[in-house]
Amino acid sequence: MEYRANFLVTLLMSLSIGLWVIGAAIVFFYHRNNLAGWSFDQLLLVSGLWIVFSGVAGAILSPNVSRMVEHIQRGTMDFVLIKPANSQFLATLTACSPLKLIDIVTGMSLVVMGLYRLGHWPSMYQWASFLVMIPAGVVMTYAFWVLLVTLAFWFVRVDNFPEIFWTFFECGRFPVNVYRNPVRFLLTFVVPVAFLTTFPAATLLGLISPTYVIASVVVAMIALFASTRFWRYAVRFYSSASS
Amino acid sequence: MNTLRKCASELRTAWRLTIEYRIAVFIWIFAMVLPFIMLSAWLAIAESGPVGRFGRNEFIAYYIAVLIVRNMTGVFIIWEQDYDIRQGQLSFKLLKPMNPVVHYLALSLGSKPVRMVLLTPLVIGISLYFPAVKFAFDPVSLLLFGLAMIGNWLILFFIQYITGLLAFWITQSLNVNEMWFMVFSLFSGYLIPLELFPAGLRDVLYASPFRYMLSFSAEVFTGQLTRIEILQGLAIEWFWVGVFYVTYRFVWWRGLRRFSAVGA
Repeated sequence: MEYRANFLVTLLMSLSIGLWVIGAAIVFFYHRNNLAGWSFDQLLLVSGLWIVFSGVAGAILSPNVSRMVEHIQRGTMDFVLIKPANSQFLATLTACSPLKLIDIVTGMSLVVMGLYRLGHWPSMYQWASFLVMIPAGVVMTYAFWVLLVTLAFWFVRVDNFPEIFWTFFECGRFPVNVYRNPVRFLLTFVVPVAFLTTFPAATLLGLISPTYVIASVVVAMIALFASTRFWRYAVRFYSSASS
Repeated sequence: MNTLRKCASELRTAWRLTIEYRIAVFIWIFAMVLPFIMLSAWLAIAESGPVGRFGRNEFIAYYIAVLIVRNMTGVFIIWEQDYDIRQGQLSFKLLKPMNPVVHYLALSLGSKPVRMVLLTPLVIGISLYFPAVKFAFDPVSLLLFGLAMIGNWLILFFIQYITGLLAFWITQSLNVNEMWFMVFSLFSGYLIPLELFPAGLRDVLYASPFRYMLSFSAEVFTGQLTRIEILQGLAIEWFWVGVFYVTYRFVWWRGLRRFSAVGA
């Protein structure tokens, strides 16, 4: 908050992203009244959730990855590894850019706007399911970032692994049924972007059963487990800067 | 001759950087997925019938053209430029016997050969696999396409360079660039073909420099324009190159005075 210019600009950018997403959707719906079976207002939910997750990733995950890559490149990773706390936690969750969390507000505003325009207010059961799916989505995102960060141990000169995340994440702008089959499968079961934006939106809209939340939790747990194993494997084989 | 040698040496350095950081460069190219995502969305819409003149094949042609143009004309130098100005590294570049802009121009061109090598088989592959997808492959068209892309690249370069030069005055030039990208992506034809905008807005955009930041080159490559229209477009495009070049010179002159004043 000290850097007021920075705060104002981040706020402005968050609003701009919201407007931009709405603007693009308006041009689409100028020509047809549905996108793969989703209406304009339903699409707002997906777009809003996309903004929410991009805020979370930008605020919590991105700063950590840059720092971690710097540590590895400069050889100071050793100092992180010898600390008496879990190295994965230290490497991936200690830095934070809280300003980007404004995106959560912008994104949820779009979600609420969409629901209001539809005149649909989800049931308690649907909200409960949604409120579990979102953290599950955050965990899945975290696991994927851990995977990418771990790759930095081997590919030391590459500092843009996060771009791989953003590439897959971009696909989350639209509901997953927009994509044709091999891609749709990839985005649901391999890099589960569908669980981030499409399924939570569909749950709120009553398009799918709230029991999808079970799938979300299962996928999140598998993802976290796999990525933690991969991190431990990498640290074991890490030939540090000095030894 | 001396100038040419300086430019050549900057280009060689930029090329070597590309080779050295080849995995990173490859990731950058792979990361340009937005055209494919937009294409998927439009194809889903076009299943119930064409949108304007755009059927399945026209959308595929358009977004492949967009991919090529964006790869070949994209400029990504502002991060290094911002760092150089705000951390004072610009002083080292100023000591060299040439304008620092040459370094950034060369940097921007470094990965273009690699991109061309990766994209050419893709375009040829798409043309063979989807015979109804049409590109303007004849030599004259390709030459005009090349000229269009060079002008396109220069416009984008000067706009980004000027944005980077704002670092002489403000700390937020990278964020300004982010916001600019949103405006650019919506109005240049990157996200959505300009033809598909509502009529009034469409005419404004066609008359604006935005068209020449991506759409015009894509229109040339997909064979949408007659020779006359291409030549007219090129004239307007290079007019805008001139405008942005002059603006850059002015901002550079003012910025440099300020840089010296801060005692670097």
